[in-house]
Amino acid sequence: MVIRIVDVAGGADTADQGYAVRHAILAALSREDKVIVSFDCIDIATSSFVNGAFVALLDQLPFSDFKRRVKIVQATKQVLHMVRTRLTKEATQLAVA
Amino acid sequence: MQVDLVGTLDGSNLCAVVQRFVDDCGGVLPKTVSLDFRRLTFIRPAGVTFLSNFALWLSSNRVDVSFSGIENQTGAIKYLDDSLFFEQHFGRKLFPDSNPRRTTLPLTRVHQPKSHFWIRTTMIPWLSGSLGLNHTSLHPVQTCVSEIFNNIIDHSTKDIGSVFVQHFPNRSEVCLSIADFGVGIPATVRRVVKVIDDHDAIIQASRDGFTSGTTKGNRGAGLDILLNYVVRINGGKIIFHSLKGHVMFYRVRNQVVHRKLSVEGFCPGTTIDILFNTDSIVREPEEIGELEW
Repeated sequence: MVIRIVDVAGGADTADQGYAVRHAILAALSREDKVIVSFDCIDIATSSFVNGAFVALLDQLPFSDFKRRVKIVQATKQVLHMVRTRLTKEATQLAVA
Repeated sequence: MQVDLVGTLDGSNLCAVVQRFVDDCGGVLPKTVSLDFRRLTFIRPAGVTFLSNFALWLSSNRVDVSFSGIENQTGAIKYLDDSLFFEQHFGRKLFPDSNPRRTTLPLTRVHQPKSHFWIRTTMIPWLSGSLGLNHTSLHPVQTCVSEIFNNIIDHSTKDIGSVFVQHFPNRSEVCLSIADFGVGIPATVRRVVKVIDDHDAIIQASRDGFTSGTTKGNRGAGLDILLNYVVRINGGKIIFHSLKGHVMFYRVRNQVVHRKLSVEGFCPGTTIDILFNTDSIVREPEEIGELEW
C-alpha cells in the first residue's frame, strides 16, 4: 500500500494536511501490516505537518511499531530531517513521561 | 492626528514612534492619522514592514490613514515607492519611474491560506536567482518562513502577514522581515503563563516544546526550528518586536543566546526581522531518499 502525500493532502505545509495523511495511514494500517508513505513531488515538510501526520500517531502506535510498519520514501533531505527529529524528540518525551 | 517619521527608521525606533502615538492618544484612537514623511531620511527593510504593519493595524481599528510630505522624491521616499509600499497602501505608486529594485522582493501582503504557495512560487525562486543557489539549498530557509506563517494562522487573530525581503550582496546578507497585526506573542503566551513581562514572553515562546495550546496538536516546535537554523546553524540573527517585548537572538560559540533590547516602545502584533548570512547557506544537491532509523 503506497500513500502519496501529494494525492492525499496536496502538500506537507499545514497541520490540516498532516491530519489527512494520518487518517490515511491509520486506515491503511487497519488493513495491512505495513504502509509506504511517499513524499514524491514534495519539497519540504513543516513541523505542523509532521506533528499532524506522524507524531499524533504515537498516541496509538508505539514508536517501535511505527518504525517497523511505516516506511517513508522519495523524500528530500529536509523532509527526512524534519520527520526524524520531530518523531525522535516526541517519542523520547513519551518514553520519559 | 499627525505622526512624524523622522530621520532613520527601523523596527526598533519605530516602536518608540508608535509608543509616543499611543501615549498621545490617551487610550482612544483618533478617527484619522496622517503619517508624515517630510523629515524621513532613511528607512531599513525592517522599518518598511513595521511601518506597513502599523498602517494596517490602524486601518483594522477603523482609523483612516493618509500620507503627507510625499511630494518630493527623496531617497527614502523613492526607496519606499520602489518597494511598492505606497502601491500597497495608496493603491498606486507615487512616481511613474518607480520599480522594484533588483535586490528587493517588494512589500507583499500575504494571506495565510496562500502563504505556502507564495513562498514556494515567488519568494524561493527570487532568492534562488538572487543568491545563485538551487531551491534545495534554500529548503531550510523555506521551512523557516513556512513555520512563521503557520504561527501567524495558529496564534494571530489576523491571517495576513506583510513581508519584505532585501539582499545585501556586499554584506553577504539577506534581511527578511515579516509582520502581522494580531494579538502579539506576549498575549498568546499569557494564555498559559499568566504573569510574565513581554520580553520574557517572547523568550518563553521560543523554547522548544512550549505551546500555548491554541491549536490542537501543536507541540511548540516552530520558533525553535527557526532559531536553530537561522541562528545556530546559519550564524544569522533574529529580532522579535511584539507589543512591549523586544528581543534579539544571536549565536555565541555555537549556542543560541538572547538579549532584551533596550527599546522603549510598542509594536502592534509581531514583527520578526531575520538576517541570514548568505555565505553560510550550504549548497545542496537534489537528492531523494528514504528514512533510515
